[in-house]
Amino acid sequence: MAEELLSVSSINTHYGQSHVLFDVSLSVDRGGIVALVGRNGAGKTTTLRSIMCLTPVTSGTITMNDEEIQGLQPHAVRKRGISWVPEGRRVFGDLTVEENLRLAAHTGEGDKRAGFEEIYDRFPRLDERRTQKAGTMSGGEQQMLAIARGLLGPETDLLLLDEPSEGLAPQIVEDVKDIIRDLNDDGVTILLVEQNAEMALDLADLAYVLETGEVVHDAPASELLSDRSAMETYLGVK
Amino acid sequence: MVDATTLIRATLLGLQLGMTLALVAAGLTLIFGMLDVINFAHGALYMLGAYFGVTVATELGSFWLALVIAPLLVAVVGGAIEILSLRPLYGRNPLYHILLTFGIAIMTQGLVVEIWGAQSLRIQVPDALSGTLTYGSLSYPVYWMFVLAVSTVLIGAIWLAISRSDIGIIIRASAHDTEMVDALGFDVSRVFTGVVVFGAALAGVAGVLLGASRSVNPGMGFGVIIQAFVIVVIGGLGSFRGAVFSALLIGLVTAYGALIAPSLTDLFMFALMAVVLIIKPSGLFGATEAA
Ligand SMILES: Nc1ncnc2c1ncn2[C@@H]1O[C@H](COP(=O)(O)OP(=O)(O)OP(=O)(O)O)[C@@H](O)[C@H]1O
Ligand SMILES: [Mg+2]
Repeated sequence: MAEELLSVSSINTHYGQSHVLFDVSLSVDRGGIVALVGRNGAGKTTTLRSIMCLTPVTSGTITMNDEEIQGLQPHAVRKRGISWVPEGRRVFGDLTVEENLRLAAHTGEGDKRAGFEEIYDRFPRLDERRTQKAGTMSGGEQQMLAIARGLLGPETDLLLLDEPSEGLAPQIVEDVKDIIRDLNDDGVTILLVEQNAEMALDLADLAYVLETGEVVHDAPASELLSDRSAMETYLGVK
Repeated sequence: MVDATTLIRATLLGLQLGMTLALVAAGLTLIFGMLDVINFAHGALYMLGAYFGVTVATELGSFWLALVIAPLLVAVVGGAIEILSLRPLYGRNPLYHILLTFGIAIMTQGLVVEIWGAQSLRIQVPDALSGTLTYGSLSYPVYWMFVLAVSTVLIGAIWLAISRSDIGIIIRASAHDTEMVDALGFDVSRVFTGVVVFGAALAGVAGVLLGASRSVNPGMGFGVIIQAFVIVVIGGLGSFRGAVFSALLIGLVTAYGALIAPSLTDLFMFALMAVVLIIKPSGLFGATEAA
């Protein structure tokens, strides 16, 4: 039996008056890749924001390594080993690549320099662009930077990736997939949100489908991928 | 015709005005960038710096002690404002902050009249800094040179810190996307308090510096806040570098404008703002829409 790293149980989340997540539960085992898929506006981003405590849940519990984290501040969640790579990347455009990484590394402990070299080894494209302003890089490069930033600082046990393939050319999507696989091989557990269901399901072990704020289906990713009718019903993929 | 001496003198005046305004505008723009708060009370902090300076200078008999102690006192007031009144309102409609800080500014002004009276006061310039420098036909007060030097050194040091240090990176990143900085593991609320305290201290320094060359009066807070706002808007909301450039620009425009039409200097300032906003609505150093 695999060890559970993250457990989300029966969370409800509101934005002001509007109720967005309804009793959402999901579980991520250590070492796995779990996909969270669904159509536009289903609540995927909100689920990740709730886990990160950026949009606090109104009820339910979230545990990381068996400790409850709902109600913490985002920076405290980060220190528990959860790292968030947001939709749209949100790199600091006016800062250089190096400054973006320095910022992320700042909260970590131990030898930061070694951490940097490891990151530059893993992302040679960033190594070539250390002094370039992040905002002037291509979408794919910014995505690499956003992921790299998520790996620096406190130890990252769980990476929350929100639409890493968004707006990228197919060839670059393949590069991002390779990076996600490599990271997972190196022990990083991944919760992957995607509109590009095929990409996500190809990578993941397990998948949850969200529909208007509710989990309507969960299945091994390969099973869902080959279940044409489920793919069409839930995701509109023919 | 304007002769060279007049021009040099105006340039020095403009730079001095610009650098002292930059001390006030720096705090205003950093606070806006990080906290998304338009701090109307910032002018009141500048004024408090001058009044604290008056009191310290008279009680302890030292301009130098006033220059150090008054800004520290203003920093304490700034910290109290942040912790006690701004903090509970973060994330609300910005109108709350405008009303709150406007209220604080008015209350401070009332308190100042209550404590120090409505008449104009002045901080005594120390002997070492009195007198004038003369160079050919140019004569210029030593104290004004001192003000220019101190404010330039301070602004230069902050400039370096913001562009090089890790704290500078955090400040620039937070001006861009506070939530992301939080999610990367920074307790941004602690940085918030630090920025308000620091910005208040800078305004306090400006208050003491100018309190010895101009009059110290209860209206000075509102006078400076308008100029500081124009500077922050021209420079690009949240940008420290923008604020420094635009403060120098305003300082020089005001000083040169005074040569042409002394009564119209405010008009020149607002005209400059209008032109910048038409050409680049986000200000000279403001973030572009895409970023
Ligand atoms: N800040 C907000 N305030 C109010 N409602 C919001 C806010 N953010 C999202 N919502 C609403 O919450 C619902 C879920 O949005 P969410 O962004 O989580 O969906 P998503 O599955 O990530 O969609 P997409 O695939 O388009 O990124 C939507 O109906 C959306 O309009
Ligand atoms: Mg989304």
